[in-house]
Amino acid sequence: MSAITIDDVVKDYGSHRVLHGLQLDVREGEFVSLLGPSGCGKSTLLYCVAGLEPISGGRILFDDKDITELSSRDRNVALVFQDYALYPHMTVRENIAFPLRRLKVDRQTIKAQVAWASETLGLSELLDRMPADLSGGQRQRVAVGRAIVRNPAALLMDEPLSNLDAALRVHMRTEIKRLARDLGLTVLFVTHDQEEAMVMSDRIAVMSNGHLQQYGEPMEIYRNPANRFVAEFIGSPKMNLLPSDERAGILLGLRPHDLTPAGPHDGEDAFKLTGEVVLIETAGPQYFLDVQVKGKMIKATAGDITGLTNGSEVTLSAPAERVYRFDVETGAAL
Amino acid sequence: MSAVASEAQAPPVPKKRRRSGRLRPPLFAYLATMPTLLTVLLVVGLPLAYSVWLAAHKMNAITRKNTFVGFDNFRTVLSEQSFWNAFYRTAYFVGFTLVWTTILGIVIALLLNKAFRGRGFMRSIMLVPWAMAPVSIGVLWSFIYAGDVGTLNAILNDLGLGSWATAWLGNGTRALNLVALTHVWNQTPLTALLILAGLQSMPASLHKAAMLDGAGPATRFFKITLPWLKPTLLFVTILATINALMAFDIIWIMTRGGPGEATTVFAWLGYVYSFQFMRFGQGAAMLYMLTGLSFFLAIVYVLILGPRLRGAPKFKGPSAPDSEIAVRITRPYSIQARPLKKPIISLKLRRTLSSVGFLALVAVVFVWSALPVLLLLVMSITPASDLVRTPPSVIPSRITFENFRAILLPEGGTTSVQAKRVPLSLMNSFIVGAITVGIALAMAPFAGYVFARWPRARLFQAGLWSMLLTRMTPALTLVLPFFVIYRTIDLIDTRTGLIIAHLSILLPLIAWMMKSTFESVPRSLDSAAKVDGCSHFQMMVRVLLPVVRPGLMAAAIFGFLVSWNEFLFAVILTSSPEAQTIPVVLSGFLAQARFHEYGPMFAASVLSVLPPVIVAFVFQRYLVQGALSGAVKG
Repeated sequence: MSAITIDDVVKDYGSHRVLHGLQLDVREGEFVSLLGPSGCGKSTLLYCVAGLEPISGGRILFDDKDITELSSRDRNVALVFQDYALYPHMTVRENIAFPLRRLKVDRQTIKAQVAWASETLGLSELLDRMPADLSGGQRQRVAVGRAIVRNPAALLMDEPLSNLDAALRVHMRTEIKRLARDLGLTVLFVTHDQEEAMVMSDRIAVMSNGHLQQYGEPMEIYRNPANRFVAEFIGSPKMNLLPSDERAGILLGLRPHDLTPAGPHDGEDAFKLTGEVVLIETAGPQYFLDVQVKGKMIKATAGDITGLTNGSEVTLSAPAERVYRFDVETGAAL
Repeated sequence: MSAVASEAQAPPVPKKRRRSGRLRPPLFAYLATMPTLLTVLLVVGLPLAYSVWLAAHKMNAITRKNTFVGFDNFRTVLSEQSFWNAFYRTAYFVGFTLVWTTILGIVIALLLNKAFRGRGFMRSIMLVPWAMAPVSIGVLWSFIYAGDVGTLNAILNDLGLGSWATAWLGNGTRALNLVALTHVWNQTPLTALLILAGLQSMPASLHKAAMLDGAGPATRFFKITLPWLKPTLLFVTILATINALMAFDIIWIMTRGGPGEATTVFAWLGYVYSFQFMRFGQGAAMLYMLTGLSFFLAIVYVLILGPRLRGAPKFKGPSAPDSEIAVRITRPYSIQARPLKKPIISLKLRRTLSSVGFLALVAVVFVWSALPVLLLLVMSITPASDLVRTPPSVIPSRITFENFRAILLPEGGTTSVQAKRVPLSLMNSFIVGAITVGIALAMAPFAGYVFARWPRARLFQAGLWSMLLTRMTPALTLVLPFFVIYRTIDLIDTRTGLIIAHLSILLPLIAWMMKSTFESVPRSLDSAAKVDGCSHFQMMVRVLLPVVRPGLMAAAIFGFLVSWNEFLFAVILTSSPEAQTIPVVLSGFLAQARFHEYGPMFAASVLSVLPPVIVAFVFQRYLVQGALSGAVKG
């Protein structure tokens, strides 16, 4: 395993710049997610690290060794693709053994190593099957098996869970996280699902339009978003934004989970809003309220909706320290 | 209410479902396929049956009486040395073209699968030799290889290598190889096209994964690309074999089986027996053996590729996790990675070198595909006298349009009989093509729809097979019974006769193309139309046909081209200028006056390849996407 340093990496497609001087370092054994909407350059960055895309400027280092000039086969990185990229004409066994064959590893080692990987991933029964005969989840395991069967300097994953159904996705993210921890893998994980990134990562790099927006631990990003983009992108339902009454040029940000019907326990300096209830949604342990405040829809949560009906007036409050302020012009957090 | 109640009591498996879950097709399906199936039966089945009768009879040349001889014709043919000589020559011809079309096709497809500026243009250029009529190709290449004033000799002369000049087609072995090479030139684009479609269906991630797994370019080609292309290659192989077996037009134009018997392949021998010796029985017997060979290959193809055509087995099962990742994880071995070392040549230099090499190869493909056609263009604007001057040269003394004037204007200053036939023949080609396509389009899309929706119903399965086999039937087998039948019912030398004959090619072709098109239309659209109150017929006309309009357009244009380029039926079934099409008139230039008419001949050739070349450029994207996946004959 290696630490990865992405040093001022620039990537151009013709005259179109897709990565604008990214600076990112990943510690050895760390699980880092690249999070952003589609088209933000996160997959491109991953491919640059893998050596599948040449970079237009900057350097990439593994453990302080500059690997920018190396072709992908010499970088010793493993990549799990979104569509798994299993070789369709090879059995599971041949798929997993393929990278070892290329390294000219001896037969005995290959056998032991494949046995280990398949046992680790619960694939022992499936070794002689073809990829077409596997379920989505099984294919995903094979792809992971092929990636960990050698000692990769880094494990890169390009939205590996997006082709699985919801229940399996939640299950697999736990398993991958544990596998990464137990094997001490350095993982770079691309996703557009903020929840996935929050649950799995040691640190999250939020990207947009080829720029790094913020890089930090999940809760830090949730609680201290660097700008309006990060604040809106992280957290579900989305953060409410409304213009400030006190000062022009400032937007107030309120997470629905921080905004609840006002009660006796609110602090002195609590932020308050009054509006009309338009819709009440049931979401299991809590309720979501759509409240119209000065012609704007605001989403809030409530643990208890006694006394609230459509059309009734409600006063919402949020703790003062949970009110975010952004510059309207730059979007930067204030 | 009672209806609802009785339905509720019905057994869980409705009675309409047969075993293996086939749905019985509605009456509409039978009605929709009838016109196509009946017409095919008439224009293909009947002639084929008649040629069986011919093969089993012997005609007395004087009394014109037929006597039944059973398998005698087959026995006679099989006992003749010339048959076996032709057989071995055919095997050589097929082997030669197969090897080279496959190798060149793979190389071209790999090149044109890479992204580079001008790729679309190069793909169009690549397709031109395939889009051209074999007759135009024959005319072009026979002049290139001609002795004395041939283009190849002229080029050698211009390069100062005049001593190498020779009559290229004069030597038997060389002639066979050069004719085969010309066939390769004509057929390689088809192979490349199909392989390109195969390459495009390959997920990009496969190669990336292999790269990361440490596989170099050669390993990736042999371990990833070739296995992926296996079904395509098999299909291409069989297709190329059948096309090589049926190669006839270019032999007619270039060598007519000669010199001596050096290029007398199976198809040519069958023609000679039938139409030069007028031994219809033996000719039919021989052509039947050719057909048998084609059918055999076609069946092999369907049987081997059948499972794939029916759709790959898809996993259906629980997607829930069925096993857990082990709790304790320790690696048995630590795999040593390649040491991280700097490459000898820098990455940048390597990229530059490989892109230079790549562009050089693309340039070679350009020269291979376009140079002969450009030569044709140059020759058409060269004064006719330049083409026969000695010493020969490819550089025209001046540029002129008198060749075009000669063939297009009624008083173009020419006394040539053949040149005067060009305008009418262009018109005939257009009329025959347009009407044939019109008739085929009125029937075949309905059949294509039914074949796509009820592929398992027995009648339609049989219909589909008959379409496929029809497309594998050499036209040469059909032309003999057509000729004999037309002579008796006076359809010889009419455009109507030609249209009927061309239907035997176009109807199965378009039905097959439309089947592929409809397969990509979701069935839910049918249901939506029916729920919204359409009858079956309205559903077709109001909803489905408009949806597949691009496919209809493609089928129409492609079918028109096939008719436009068609030579064999046209040359055998017409004899006077009234019904002759452009390929026939082109071939007439060679047959009638062997000298001084090269100018008008090349001008006519240019006009004849114009529509195909335009189509290659406009529809290149379509072709590569495999939208014309059914359009693979010829």
